Amino acid sequence: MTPSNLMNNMAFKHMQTACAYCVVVCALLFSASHVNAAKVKDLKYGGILFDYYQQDYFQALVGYEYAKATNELEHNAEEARLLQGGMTLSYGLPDEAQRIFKELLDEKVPQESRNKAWFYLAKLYYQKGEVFNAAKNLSRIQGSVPKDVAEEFNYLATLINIKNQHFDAAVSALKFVGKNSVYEPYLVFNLAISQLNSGQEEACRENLLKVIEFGKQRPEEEFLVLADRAKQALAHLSVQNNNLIEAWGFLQNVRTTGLYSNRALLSYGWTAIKLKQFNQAIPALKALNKRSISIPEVQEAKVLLGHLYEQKGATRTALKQYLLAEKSFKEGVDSISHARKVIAGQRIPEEFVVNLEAMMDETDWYGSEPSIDYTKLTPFLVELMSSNPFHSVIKELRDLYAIRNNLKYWSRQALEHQLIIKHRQQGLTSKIIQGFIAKTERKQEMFENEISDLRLHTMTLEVEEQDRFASIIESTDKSFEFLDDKLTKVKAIKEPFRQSEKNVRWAKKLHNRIRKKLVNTNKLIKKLEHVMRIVVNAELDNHEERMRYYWAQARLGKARLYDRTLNNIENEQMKKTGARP
Amino acid sequence: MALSQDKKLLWTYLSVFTLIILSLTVEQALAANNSINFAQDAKQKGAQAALQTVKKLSKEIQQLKSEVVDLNKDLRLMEEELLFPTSTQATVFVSLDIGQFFTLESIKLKLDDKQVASHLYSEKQRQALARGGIQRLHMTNLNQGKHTMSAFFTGLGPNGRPYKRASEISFTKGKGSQYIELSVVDDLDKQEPTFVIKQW
Repeated sequence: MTPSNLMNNMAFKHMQTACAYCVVVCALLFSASHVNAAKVKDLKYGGILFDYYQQDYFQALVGYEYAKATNELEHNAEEARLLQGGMTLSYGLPDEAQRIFKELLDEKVPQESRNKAWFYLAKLYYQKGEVFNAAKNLSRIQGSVPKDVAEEFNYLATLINIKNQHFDAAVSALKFVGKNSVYEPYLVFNLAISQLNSGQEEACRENLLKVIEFGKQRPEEEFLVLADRAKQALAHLSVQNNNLIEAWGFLQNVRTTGLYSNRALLSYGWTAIKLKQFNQAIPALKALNKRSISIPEVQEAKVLLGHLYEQKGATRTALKQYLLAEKSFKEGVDSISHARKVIAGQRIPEEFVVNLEAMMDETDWYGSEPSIDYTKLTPFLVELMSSNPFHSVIKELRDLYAIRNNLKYWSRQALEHQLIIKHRQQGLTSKIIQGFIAKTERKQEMFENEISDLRLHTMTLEVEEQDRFASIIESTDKSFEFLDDKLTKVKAIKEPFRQSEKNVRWAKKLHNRIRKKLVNTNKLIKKLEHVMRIVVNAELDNHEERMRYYWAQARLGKARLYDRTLNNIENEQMKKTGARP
Repeated sequence: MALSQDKKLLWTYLSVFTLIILSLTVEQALAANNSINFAQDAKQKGAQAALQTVKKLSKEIQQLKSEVVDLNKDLRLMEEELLFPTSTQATVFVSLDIGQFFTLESIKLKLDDKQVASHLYSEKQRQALARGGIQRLHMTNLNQGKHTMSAFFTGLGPNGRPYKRASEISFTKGKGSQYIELSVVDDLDKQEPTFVIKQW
């Protein structure tokens, strides 16, 4: 397989950013696997890999710089440089990564490393949204694609083809993606959505059905979630084609738990209503009714459920539903005010950002009552989290908090450094050492005399008693030997160790740099936290307006039912009194 | 009385009118909620503008990140110079070759009969070792001359049985810094792990 086979159809057009979130997820997945069971010849290269494989890019980058500064990358220098480029990119330094990869395009660099550099540059451009440049760089790979990036190469080539709407080329490239590859279901899903956007509905359907099949063959959570999304997309297509029965069929198979179940349950309810199957709609809406009020689908379901009961003529049940909905909406608005207070808190952005991953991993968070302050925010920010700009704010903030912790650690270390330096500067002089040696020699002589006396004294004892002391005397002799050895070493010191002035100045300079960087980091954190608060509050406004809208709907429903009841009572009274309405 | 009846009539008309309007609008309102813009435009625009400022800050953040990486490198060099000068420095590393016959759980390290380090491994660390990573387990200062080092490896051996092994080395510390590697290697012929300590 050569790169030109895959790339020959690329017309390098600028494309829209459909499915960007999916792409980002996959890119993260493959960035963590671009070195396989490396051949380590330099110990320090192994140390870099140890941090890298744990996705601690910061420490790995520091490790690389350190090893380079101490000339300890002799055999793995090129691999390490490539790795540095990849890590720099993953650590959010695209400009520097680009510079590193460009340096590796030098003709002196072996072909394989050069090919990898072209590949990583293409990946970098793709992540920046520059599809034209990504395609251009990918097509510059000469000869065969390096084995350890072959799968990622296919993945990237397919993504570029999809973005450029070269669907035939994308389908061909898909054949080269390994059958058990984690990328395949995502690629097929992305392809399907792009086909839909360009009007190829039939091809889109086929690919969405394939995604559902992947879910059956590999029932892991991520593929099941993707299959749920495919079923919803298919249901949406069926509704557009007025085939409600088919849509209903797809929706019946979406799981009733997980993040995408809310939209599915509501769509299921609406489809049933449109099919006049009111009784079928009620269980789905009831299931939603039990979930967190922060979810828009739940808010809609609450009012819709009341309306359904009304349609069925179950006035009492409908009235009860409206009253309960009103109560829930009031609680919802209260929880939004609480969330506003939470985000205004001093430490909350940090706690929220640092614990975000754990919170988002809790698939059933909507079913549980939040116990910690920052978790009260999470339900309102799910949609926001899927937007790339907000996601990058969170990522940058997380990195800045980590940098701040790192600098605080070094600030504490700096105090220790200064303490060591101070003691060394005020420490031993040649005179003190000479005095210490003389004193120790006097003590040694005195102890030796005492031991000698004791040894003579033991000889006057019975043989059995002498044996008892033999081991003690032996161990004392060893201690004297040890002391002798140490004393000889101290005597050999011509001049005591002094911290070099150069090192003292170096330490001071570095300590100043820590202080300056800490000030700069805090300044940037403050700016980003401000942005985060504005964006989160805007999202909370959005939620509150929606909540108040449905609250008003519930009130109107209640009023409508009261009106109707009043009318009925009046009509009844009029009938009884014989008065005309 | 007549006034009261007029009021009732007006009230009834109003109620019926409201009911008709509500009946007509409620379903449309519910069905069309996706197209309703719940957000106040000004505030949403403010949020978008705030997000745009992040792009401008991005350059500053990138620069800070690079500088902090560089600062960490310098601090590490300086601290080693201060605490572990080359003449006395000795460092112990751990590596794992494949790890098919041994799941490493912990290591205890003794230097001249004194325990100087111990480490409990997480799954993430085991994976990192299995893929070629090398861990720096311990760094210390040693005099020139003869020393002994023993390492005790605990984990799961073939067939998932608890496995404990020890390995020892005597070495002479020279003038320069000393690197020692504790290595767990799969012995494919014997189908069991071997534990090796080697000097670099």
